[in-house]
Amino acid sequence: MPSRQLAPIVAVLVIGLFACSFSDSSESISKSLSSPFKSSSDSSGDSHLAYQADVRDYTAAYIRSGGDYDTFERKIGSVAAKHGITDWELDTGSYVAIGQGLRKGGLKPIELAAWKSNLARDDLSRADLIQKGYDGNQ
Amino acid sequence: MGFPRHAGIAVGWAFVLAATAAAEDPPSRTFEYLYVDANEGGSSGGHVAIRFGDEVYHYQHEDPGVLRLHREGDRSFFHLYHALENRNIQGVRVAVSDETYRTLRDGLEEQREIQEAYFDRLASATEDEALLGRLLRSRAARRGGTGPEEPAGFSLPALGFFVPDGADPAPEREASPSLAALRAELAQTLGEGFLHTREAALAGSLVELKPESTEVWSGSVSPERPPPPSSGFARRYRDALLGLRALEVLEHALPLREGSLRTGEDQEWALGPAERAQLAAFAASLAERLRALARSGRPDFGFPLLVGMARLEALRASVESGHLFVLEALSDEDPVLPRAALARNAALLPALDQENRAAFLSARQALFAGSTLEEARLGDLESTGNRLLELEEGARGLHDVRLHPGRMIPARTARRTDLPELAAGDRPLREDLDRVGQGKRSLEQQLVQVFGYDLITRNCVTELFRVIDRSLAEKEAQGNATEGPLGGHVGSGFNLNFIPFVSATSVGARWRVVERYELPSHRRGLLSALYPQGPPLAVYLRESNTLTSTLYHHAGKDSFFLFFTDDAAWLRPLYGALNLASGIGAASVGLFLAPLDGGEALSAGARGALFSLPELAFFNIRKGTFEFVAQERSPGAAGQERSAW
Repeated sequence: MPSRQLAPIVAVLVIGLFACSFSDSSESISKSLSSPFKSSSDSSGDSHLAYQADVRDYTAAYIRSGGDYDTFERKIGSVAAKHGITDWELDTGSYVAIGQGLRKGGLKPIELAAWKSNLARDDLSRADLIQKGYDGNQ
Repeated sequence: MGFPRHAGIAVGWAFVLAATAAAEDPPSRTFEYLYVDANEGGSSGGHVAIRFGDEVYHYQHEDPGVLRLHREGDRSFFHLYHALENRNIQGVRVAVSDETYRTLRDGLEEQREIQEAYFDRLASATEDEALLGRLLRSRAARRGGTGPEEPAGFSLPALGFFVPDGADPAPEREASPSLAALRAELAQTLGEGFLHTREAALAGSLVELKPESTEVWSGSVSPERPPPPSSGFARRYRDALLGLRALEVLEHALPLREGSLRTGEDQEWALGPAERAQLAAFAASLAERLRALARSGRPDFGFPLLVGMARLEALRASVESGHLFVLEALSDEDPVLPRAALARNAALLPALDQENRAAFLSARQALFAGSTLEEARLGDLESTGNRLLELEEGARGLHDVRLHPGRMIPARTARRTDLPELAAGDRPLREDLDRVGQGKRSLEQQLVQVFGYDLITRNCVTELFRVIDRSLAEKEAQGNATEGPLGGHVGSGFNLNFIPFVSATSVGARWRVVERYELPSHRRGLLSALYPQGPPLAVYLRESNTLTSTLYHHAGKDSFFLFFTDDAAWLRPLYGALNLASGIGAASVGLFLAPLDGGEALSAGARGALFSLPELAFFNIRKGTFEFVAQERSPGAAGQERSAW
């Protein structure tokens, strides 16, 4: 093959050697006939901690970017769904993690009452859990 | 196959102590820099990632030409890149202080959240545009008397457990006793008119919905701050509609539709008297929770209410029959593994079935070990049960196998065409559609500009280093903050660090590395285990090629080739020449077959020839891939330990 014709092919291959992967993970990663993802999906303590960490981090980010309570609850619903949880209100860890996130996001103590009131509504135990998370208690 | 974690730590630790004697905050934790070498297809270049404990962060090049940061569990990462994609992985463990560890991990997590928020805004805008367009077209069709012209309908997750697709109401059937009881209890505590009142309020708010100005994109994308949060018009519409339909299901005590429950025939699906009693208690606590959800102020209460009601029915069926039932948790939208692929890998099926059974039994045990019903445990039972049944039925040739990684949420979708009308007239709706469409296109363009992939200046390596530099600089509030915390600086300026394997070398040389390891690709790992089982030469000859290999079966997306060259350094040019010839031959045959197979053989042959060229010059890219592997062969399975020493 003449070198002029070979050059573009070699160039493509060399560039290919350098390039990062193009993601086909959405296709490949779902090739799960068994449960190789158990570490991130089982109901062990680690998994619940990961859920709480995500709620905490999301809450902190939400506080920094601002937004209303309805949108926040929808977004927490999405975060919970990624951990296989639909009824996040039932999980007491959710409220503790929200409290932690409110603090991490820099919410001032004076603003905390409004968040507790809107998220816990008339449930005092939920408000207490948010307060505990905010205060740094588990 | 083990996943090295401790080897060399003692030696490394001494080195670290000496190297950082002057540091204020001594290294106490480690993270890993992972280099994944090349394979053909979407992975013809190398790849890099950073692992913190059981989380792996890595950038991927995706449509539409953007680079996105992902976080995955380490098991899923290794399962994909090491096992399925059959790639060698080199890892280095880097010792850092606890503060640096948190700074790096938080910096990557923050960047991931920022990206996710922007791409979620884009997805939301796409949904808004589609819904507005659908509503306008439906109006036009009704005026023209042509009926609904969109058979696909609007997807309402979990409603499909009770209501069919289309516009027809649920057929008349005997009411569900458990939902009827739930309805009666609600009436007793909240009054007879509670459901009606709440439905009317939801229907009223639904009609008045319109896109808010904050939901239409008009800002600018920044990689350093997330967009203002927004629910999205279509999502608010879906939430309100799901809430309304969920209350209607409850009001009419609709029974589950056929095909909503799954069970197996083996002994592990049978329930003892104590287990039945426990499930009855779980059902009672779930019913109590559903009563709370029916009056919940949560804007998206409809979905958990629907899923919960379906689960209540599954529990009731289990208690009454003495046989464990789980909800159908896989959907037609999940990716499918064709029966042909199962047949190609039939030898693996017993091991996979064994894994699935063990996972199911473990989830079953965990559910009954709890004194209260935990949604996560029930979710595990549903996920493992569905996976077990799906593969068993697929192996019997009953159907293709649907795939879904991780924990599933049962969400049988109803694609409804009977959407409630909005009060807004055509003109405002069209204006909204225009605004939403313009905002969406603007956002998309900005995302490509800000997060766009570039081979040299913005790839999976450069962005990792950029986030690391930025996170450390912010923390230290000084420009060259990476010298101390990591031991040395590896950047992506005027150097070759944008190349994945060069970056791995730089990291190994400059960061505070306390351990190095290499995981040979999945096939090479299996091959190593084969050698002691027979004459090495015979094993080598048998496994060196795709025709007689017992480890590798041609995966659908692989190119055509004869010889594996990843473990044949000196013979690589010779094998490469044979691979090149066979690829050209396969492509030639494929040319004639193209009208019959849609060009598949032609493509496989041409790619086979292309990926043989580097082999002529001693380079290896292609290694073959696997369509699926058994879990215990994946090295990530052993990597459960957190990285703190």
